[in-house]
Amino acid sequence: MTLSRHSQDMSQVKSATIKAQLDQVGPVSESMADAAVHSDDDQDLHFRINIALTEAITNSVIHGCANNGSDLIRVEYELQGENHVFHIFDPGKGPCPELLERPVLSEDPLAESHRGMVIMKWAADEMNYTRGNDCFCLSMLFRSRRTAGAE
Amino acid sequence: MNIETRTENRITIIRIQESRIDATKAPDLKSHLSALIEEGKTLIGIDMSQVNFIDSSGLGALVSGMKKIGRNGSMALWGLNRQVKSVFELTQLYKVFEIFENENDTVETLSRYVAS
Repeated sequence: MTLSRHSQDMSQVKSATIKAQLDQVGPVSESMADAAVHSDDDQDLHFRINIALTEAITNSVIHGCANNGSDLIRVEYELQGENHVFHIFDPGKGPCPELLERPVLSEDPLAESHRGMVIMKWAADEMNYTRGNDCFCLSMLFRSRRTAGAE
Repeated sequence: MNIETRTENRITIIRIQESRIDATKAPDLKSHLSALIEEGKTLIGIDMSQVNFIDSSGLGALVSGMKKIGRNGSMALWGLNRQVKSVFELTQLYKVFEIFENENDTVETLSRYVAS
């Protein structure tokens, strides 16, 4: 697992603190994806980062902050070699470990069943989390190039 | 949310004029679909060609409409770009919605429900 906070070869590239409001999610997700991907040639990577951040930060607003718009969510982006690493901090307890590690869709595609988690797991190459006393941090790593079959 | 809607020969065409459908737009889309279905408009074709991004909230709004229609009609989509299509595949919603390349194919398929 290469995904960890505070490793020595990481340099913080961008960070943002937003209020826990749904209308903040799109702009910060787009802006972080823009910071990581500069070339039009890599629109798939941009899309993966954008959708994974959107799902994660939306979860932070709804569950981590219980829709309390005065709570704060922090998003950090770091470049680790060729890998893009994002950390999302919220004041909640985070989802249960099983849901984070092995989200599964219901056999009935119409059932509401963790679509957001499944999307995050697909979009990010690695996901990790840390639970603190008063915050939850979800970390996601995106490789610039995916190996064949990774999708 | 910018949505253009017209109904012709019992088929309702919705053109979503937004590039991004997420948790800020999904409630509007869900309400719009719900209102149409309650009016008896249960054959719905949705033009997704302006949509570059849809998250699980947006998918949830479409699924909600499909569930409300039940066996009383159908909902079909066209104009999905490659990335949006990949989200439908990943979440297995391609099994639920009929997905076409263009409006003509969508209308032709929905027309079969009118005829039957």
